[in-house]
Amino acid sequence: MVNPQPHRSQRLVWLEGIRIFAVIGLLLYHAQVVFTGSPYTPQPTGLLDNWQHLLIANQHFQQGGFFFHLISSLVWFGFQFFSVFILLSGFTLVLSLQGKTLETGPFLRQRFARILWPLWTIAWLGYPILWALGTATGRSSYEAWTILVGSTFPLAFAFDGAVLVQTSQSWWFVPLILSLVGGFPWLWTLLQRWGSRNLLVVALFVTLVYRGLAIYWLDSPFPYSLPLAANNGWQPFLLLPASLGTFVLGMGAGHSYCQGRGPAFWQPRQALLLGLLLYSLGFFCQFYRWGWLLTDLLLPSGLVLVGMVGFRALAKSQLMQQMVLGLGGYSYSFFLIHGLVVDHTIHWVIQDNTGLYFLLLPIMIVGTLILAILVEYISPLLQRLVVGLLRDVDYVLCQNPDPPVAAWQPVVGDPVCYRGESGWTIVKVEQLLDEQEFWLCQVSNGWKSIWVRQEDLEPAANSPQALAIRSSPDRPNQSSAFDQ
Amino acid sequence: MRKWTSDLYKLAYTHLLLLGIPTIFYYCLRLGGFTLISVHLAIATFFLVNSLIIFVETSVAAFRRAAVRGRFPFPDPFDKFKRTVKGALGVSGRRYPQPRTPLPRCSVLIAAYLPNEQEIILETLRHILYKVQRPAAGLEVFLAYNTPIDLPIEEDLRRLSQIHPELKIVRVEGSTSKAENLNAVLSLVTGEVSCILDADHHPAPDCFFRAWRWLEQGYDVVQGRNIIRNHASNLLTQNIAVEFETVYGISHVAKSLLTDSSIFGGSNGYWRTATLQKIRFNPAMLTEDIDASMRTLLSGYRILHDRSIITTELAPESFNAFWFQRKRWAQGWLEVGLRYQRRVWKSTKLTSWQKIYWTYLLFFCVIYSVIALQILPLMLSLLLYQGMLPTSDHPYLWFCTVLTFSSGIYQTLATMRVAAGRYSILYFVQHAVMIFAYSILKNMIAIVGLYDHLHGLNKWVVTPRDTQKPNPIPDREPAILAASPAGLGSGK
Repeated sequence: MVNPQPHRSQRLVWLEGIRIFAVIGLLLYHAQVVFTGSPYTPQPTGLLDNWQHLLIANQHFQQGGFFFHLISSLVWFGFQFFSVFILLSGFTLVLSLQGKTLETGPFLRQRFARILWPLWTIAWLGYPILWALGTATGRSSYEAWTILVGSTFPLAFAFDGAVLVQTSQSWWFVPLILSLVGGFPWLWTLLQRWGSRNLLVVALFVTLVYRGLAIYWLDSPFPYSLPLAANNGWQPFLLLPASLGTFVLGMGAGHSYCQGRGPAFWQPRQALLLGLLLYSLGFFCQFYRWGWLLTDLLLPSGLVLVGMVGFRALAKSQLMQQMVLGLGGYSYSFFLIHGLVVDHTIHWVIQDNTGLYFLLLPIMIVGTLILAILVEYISPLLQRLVVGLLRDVDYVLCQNPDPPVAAWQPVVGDPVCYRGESGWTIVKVEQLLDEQEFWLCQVSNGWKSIWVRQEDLEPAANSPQALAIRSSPDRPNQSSAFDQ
Repeated sequence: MRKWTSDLYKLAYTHLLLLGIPTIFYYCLRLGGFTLISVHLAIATFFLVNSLIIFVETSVAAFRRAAVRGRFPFPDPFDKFKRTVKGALGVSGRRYPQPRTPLPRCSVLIAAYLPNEQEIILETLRHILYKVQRPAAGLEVFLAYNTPIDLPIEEDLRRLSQIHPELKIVRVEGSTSKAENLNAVLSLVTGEVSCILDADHHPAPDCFFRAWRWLEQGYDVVQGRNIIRNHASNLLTQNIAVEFETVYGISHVAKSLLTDSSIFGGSNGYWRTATLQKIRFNPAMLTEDIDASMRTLLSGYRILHDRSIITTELAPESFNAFWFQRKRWAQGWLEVGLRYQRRVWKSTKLTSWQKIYWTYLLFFCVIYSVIALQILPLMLSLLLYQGMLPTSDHPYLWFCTVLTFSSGIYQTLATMRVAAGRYSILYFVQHAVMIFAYSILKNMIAIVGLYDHLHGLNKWVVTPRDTQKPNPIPDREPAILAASPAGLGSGK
């Protein structure tokens, strides 16, 4: 019997490219804000007034010349990549379900683990290292409460990440992403029931109404003015409804992509023109109070369309394609670390030295990338260690552990899934004693064979054993409290 | 064949990580005014605990004997006095049990990977067929081997089995491991006692009779003592020879005497066949023998170590073979430790003392290699900070240091006393001198094993066999004993 290989969603080069570009943009933005002390944020005072404010803000970089002025002017708008990430989150979450049915529990466990383990890795390793460096240089380190909250997040969950930002300015985004992921299964169900167009209309309506309330009734200022903790007034923009439309727009694009249509299949010229138009409109909107209704929808849409065209063109080079795909996987860890690197480099090393600031900018980018690679490497090891320890504690303390019950008897020739991966067949079976008898199976996928315990196997979805187990009323539950 | 140098980058990486980062960390703290004396004391305590356990184990193994005669005539009054004092102190040793029933039918199971062991397998089979004493009920010998290609030696084996019908040759198709080879013949075994051997093992003639006296008493597995046959080859084999004497003559014996439990070491193990047929071997584990030992103990069966049951084996003669053998052992031990530690704590079949001791063997030994290394970053950071290593005047640190170094020497001296083979005293002297460097080397290999385990690299690297003529070890026991239980001499 042919046991089909699972369908794997392929990573898209342009998507990874946008992610890398976005996190580097955020690093530059963050560095500029910290270095200058946040002298510029778009205000609802019109285009000309903002232009004058921008010129004043750029006086920090007088010695840099025209090129640095231009770059600095663009970097002031790096915050726009936050909403790009919201849109891409909706898109990639839908893509991750391509060819699968959504099982809410496992989906949320997997997604939360992907968000939280890198955060915990950075917190658990970063705090002691920064404390040691602070001790060595005689500088103040984080307060105990900040360390506790950061190390145990989301124990002290706050929707605005008020305490998290005391560790890193950009970490306010983590609670919002958790909220979006948490709401995704419900939105996905609605998308299936209503269709993506209807869901998008409703989500846009909710977002526009909510943002209208936030702007005109709650009198909230622009959402991305930093530092966050000093300006609680814009908290309404951090709630889920404020970003719902952008997120669902990404979901809709992802849904269309899975069906082989939508913006991802547009001609480059069409996508570029529309992207530029949307971005220009969004850019204009951010300088007017009424524009705040729409700017978070228009800006990311335009940026993603332009980015898609640009990175597709770059990906024609094989080298560039490999580089983008290789680096794209580190974008989340890069995002989490960049604030720590930027804050401490500027406060401890650069201070007010503009020349040194420009000199160290590329070093900060490369350094953050190296640390992100390290985090991605260490995080799974740490996860295995901690989960293993918790399982051991659970096992030892559990008063009535369920004895492992074999749900099915493996037989040579059975098609099986090994750790969720189909395409394996049992070629040999051994029965061993380990307090109770257990089955050990040699399985092969045609090019390699391995010995595994029966617990690591499941009958393939279409095998008689699988059907028998599914129909069994007393299907055993062998999971511990800490199973992933 | 893989070279150990292919692991050099792992060695460099892991040690850079485990030494470099803590050194910088401690250095930063020293710059901030921390003396780190509490960290130093904690690591010293860790060494102290390990040294104390070595002292206890060594003393127990040196002064208590697992198998001694019941009553001796004492013509020498001093000898009689010594025996009386030891009896009063409770270190005179157990009386070894006298067998009540004759030795039943026995089976020898030899696992081999023939391309690697084709040069030595015939010699091993001839040794077993001609030298090992047979029970009245009969003896059968199984050779379970795997080979990716047909070999001329297979014809020789077939001819030998025609001459000796008790020899059964089984080529295990599709097998890639010792565990699969052994599992394949377990259903064919007809003996009540099964001895498992590797292809290079030459057991003593009286092995089955010695093992039976314990099996008859209710034990399910008896592990004998392995000594090195090619000890004179080079410095490495000399060290391994003394190390094996320490492991099989001191550590395993102490474990057995202190906790009434032991491990099956992969060969020279004597099983009740019925137990072995239930336990079987797990081909998914790197050290299928330790895995089988844990499953045996956790299932309520008993294992005993008797150092008087001797077999000789070949030690790896090249550093390359040594590296991969020890890495597999370290990684396999880690694998077993991670799998079974919690089960040990929860087991209803083990006593509290056994649980504590097995926690030391599994959990403590797993973290030892990492924790022990941390003394170096502490010293390095002090060197960086002060430009020199000042002499400590802390009495506790001195106490721990002296005890740590003396434990190895004490263990080597005790090993000399119980050594079965009469090695040159030079072996023990050089082992005592080199034990620190040798331990560091094994520790480094264990760290690389940890790296491989964390990265899921668990490919079995076969230990290559050298075909040089080994040096015979003069046995303390007579070469041939009468084929009756009454003929058993005393053992160490």
